[in-house]
Amino acid sequence: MSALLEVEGLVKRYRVARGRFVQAVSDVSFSIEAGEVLALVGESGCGKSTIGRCLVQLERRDAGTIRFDGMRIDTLSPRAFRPLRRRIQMVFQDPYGSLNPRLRVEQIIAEPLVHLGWAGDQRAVRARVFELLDLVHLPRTAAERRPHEFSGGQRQRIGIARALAARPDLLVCDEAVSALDVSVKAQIVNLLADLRAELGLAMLFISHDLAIVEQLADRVAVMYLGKLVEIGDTGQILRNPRHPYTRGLIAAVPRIDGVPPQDALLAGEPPDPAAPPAGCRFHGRCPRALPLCTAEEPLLVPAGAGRKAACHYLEPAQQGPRIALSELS
Amino acid sequence: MSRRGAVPLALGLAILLAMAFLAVAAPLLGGDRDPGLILPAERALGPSFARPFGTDLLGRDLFTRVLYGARVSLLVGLGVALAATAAGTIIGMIAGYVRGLDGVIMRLIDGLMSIPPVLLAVTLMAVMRGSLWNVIAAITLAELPRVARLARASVQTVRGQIFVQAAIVSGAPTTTILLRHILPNIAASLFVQASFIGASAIMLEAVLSFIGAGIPPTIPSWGNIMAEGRSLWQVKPHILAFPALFLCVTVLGVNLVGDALRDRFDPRGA
Amino acid sequence: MPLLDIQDLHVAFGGLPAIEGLSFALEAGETLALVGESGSGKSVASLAMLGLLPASARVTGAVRLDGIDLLTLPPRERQLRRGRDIAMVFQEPMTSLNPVLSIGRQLIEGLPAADRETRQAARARATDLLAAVGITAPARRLDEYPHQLSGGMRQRVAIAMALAGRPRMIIADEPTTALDVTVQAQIVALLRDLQEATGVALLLISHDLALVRQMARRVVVLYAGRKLEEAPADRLFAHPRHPYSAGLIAAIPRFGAGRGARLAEIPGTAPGLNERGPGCVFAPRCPQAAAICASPPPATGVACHFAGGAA
Repeated sequence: MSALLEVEGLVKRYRVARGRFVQAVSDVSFSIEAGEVLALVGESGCGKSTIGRCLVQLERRDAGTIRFDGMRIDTLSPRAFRPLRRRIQMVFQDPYGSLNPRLRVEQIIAEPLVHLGWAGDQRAVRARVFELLDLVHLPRTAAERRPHEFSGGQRQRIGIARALAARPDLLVCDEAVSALDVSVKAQIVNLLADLRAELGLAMLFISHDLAIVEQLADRVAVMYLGKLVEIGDTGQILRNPRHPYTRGLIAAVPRIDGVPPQDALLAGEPPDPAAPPAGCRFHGRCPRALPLCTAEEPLLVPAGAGRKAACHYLEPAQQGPRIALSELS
Repeated sequence: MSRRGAVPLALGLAILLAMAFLAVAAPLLGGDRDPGLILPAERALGPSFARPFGTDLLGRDLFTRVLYGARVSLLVGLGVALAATAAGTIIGMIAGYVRGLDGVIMRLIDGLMSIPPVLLAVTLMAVMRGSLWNVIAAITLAELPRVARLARASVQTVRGQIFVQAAIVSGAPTTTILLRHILPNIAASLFVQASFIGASAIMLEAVLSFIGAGIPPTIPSWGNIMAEGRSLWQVKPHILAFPALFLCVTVLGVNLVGDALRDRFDPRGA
Repeated sequence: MPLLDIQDLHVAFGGLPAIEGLSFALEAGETLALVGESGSGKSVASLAMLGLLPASARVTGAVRLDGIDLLTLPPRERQLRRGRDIAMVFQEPMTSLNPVLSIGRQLIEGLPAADRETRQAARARATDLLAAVGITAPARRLDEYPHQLSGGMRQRVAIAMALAGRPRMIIADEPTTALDVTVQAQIVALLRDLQEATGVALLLISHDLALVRQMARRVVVLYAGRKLEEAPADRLFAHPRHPYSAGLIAAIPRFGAGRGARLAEIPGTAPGLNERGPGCVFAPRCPQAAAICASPPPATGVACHFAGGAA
């Protein structure tokens, strides 16, 4: 059985100056099954948003393959990709910037319907817009109004309605709740969870907020400086991280219960992506780095129970001895 | 919500409306006098009750001529503002959105811009017959680069906005993105720019007519009236003064409106 | 006498109230958090305290620093006192850093006269400040420029600059919001350590309850321009008494809650500036709202008709 989305060896470079490139995404592979939610987590600049933008062709990948429903889509021209846009939609981070201030909400939500071949007549479009407003719990009267009349949370509902308009199979949510207030954030997270259950949507949920990822995602992929460092089942990764960076990320999650984290905070900040460190990209901040880490880049290898991690000296699994890959080979 | 700039806007609009009225009503207000009617006996008279602005060197009534001159100025101002803005916007939008064409178009525009507008217009008029439409065409070409540059810069700002990306993801074709998502969001700044282009065009037309490269002398325009008064300006300053005054006031009116609109559209000022 | 004493502060823009009747006090050396979502007026409050609001804002009430009302002082004197006793740390560190001046120069400019008697003394003090905020190789960093630093480093420098004038209180407006999670945690730890070491009072302004939980001793909860509850942090997070505080705390995603756990949400959205009546501002979203909520809630204690007595 093939997955809904398969990404293989994805590379995206940006030119920062003549002849100088930043590798924003470096050899990343993952897949998403139909109806599955995969969270992509990491700090800013780790390349997680770039991956989402490559999936909807807001960026062109430089190397690697992207398959959707078994079909290769990374090589398609914008025109040839258009029919597929209906099936891959995106929710953006900024609820203020992502809606054209001059259009009415109905026009905004209907845009994919009009362009992606869902359009019947005017009446059918309007009926679908009402259906979508119901789906995201906005009053039907919203259709006639303009974005500035709505709060951030309501705007994000409009953005979600637009993304769902053409009944996509995969929703890319790029920090879709990060800009929202706490009380509203909870509403939108719950809405996304409901929609996912109701519509059987698959999602790539890009976020830096592990507490929300924990509630929404089936699987988690952790990125650091353009590389995937760990991927696997959400519960396993968050309860028993095997990569030291994942561990550090978890330690940094602010605790509302006042319980101090078990692990020490990570020191320093991610280095400049234009000049990534040799060997393991994380070695400069890693509390356990050894000489091997500065010399050799670790590969993403199976780390038990269907998960993978990229570290020479994996954190111990909950049971069993610590494994050093060098000892295995 | 802000009423800032309401007074200048009202004043500017009042000036322009008054000028438009004078231009339209020139045949009535000018009495039964033809602006080209030559009365050799009444040459270079000073202002009087019967001839409020006096007469010129050929004895033509200056009041009538200045009113008719308003027609030329306003037509040129409006015509150039519309033509340059329309053409410049199309060019700027293509340059700003289609990456492959940007370099070529903008180098051409830069080349055009490196020639001072007066020089460009004079050169163009030298190879064209002096008529109102040719004057408008020449000045439009001279003003075009400014609009194109502004349109391109505005397009590039707006195309980076997330709602444009959202439209791409929604499958909107390029024409929809340009006309529905980008143009309405840059229209305000283009509109403001158009008013300044209009003011500049009125000045440029006067310059062209003044140096004899513009409107044919048979049609009165503020520029050629002033040119005729130039030789005697020390003894008969009124021939130069009245058209100059009208020119100043009209340009002031256009600029007042333009400034007020800019303040109003500027989101930081709201 | 408290260091900072805000009494019945009102701020209105064009006749619309942004803050209504805000009162609270900050004792020397303590950390107080002003918590609220967007539109709650928390940032307007801090600007009002500093006299930094635009002239179109109507400000009434009292902002007493050491017993002297800053709002009634002539601007020049207010600026003097403010500059001497209060420092600010902003969300975006570049707001307080000048991109064309070296870090050392900016730090030295902020030192009080006593600390800059000689060039060497000034440089030594600036180096100490950078070291105090956890910047490695501080002497070398003095000659660098803001753009050469990472986001977290810049925020550390901004904090060092806030400390340079030896202020008695620091207003930190969303000091970690623009930073990555791992860096946020570092800055929180730094602010806590610095406060312990220097005894400076901290007024933390934030929407982030988790941050507030980690830093503040007392919390003032703002909503739609009004104070709804003030309580010691431990009490507030364990037993919030205002339904809004309770809803807000319940809505925070809890790490470790497990997959599929549903977040408690507060329905609706906060009222705009022109939608605030005399009754309880939270009533339209409140699960406990009743007829009585259309009348003004108690002016003292918890601003809820149903919170009285039940401690």
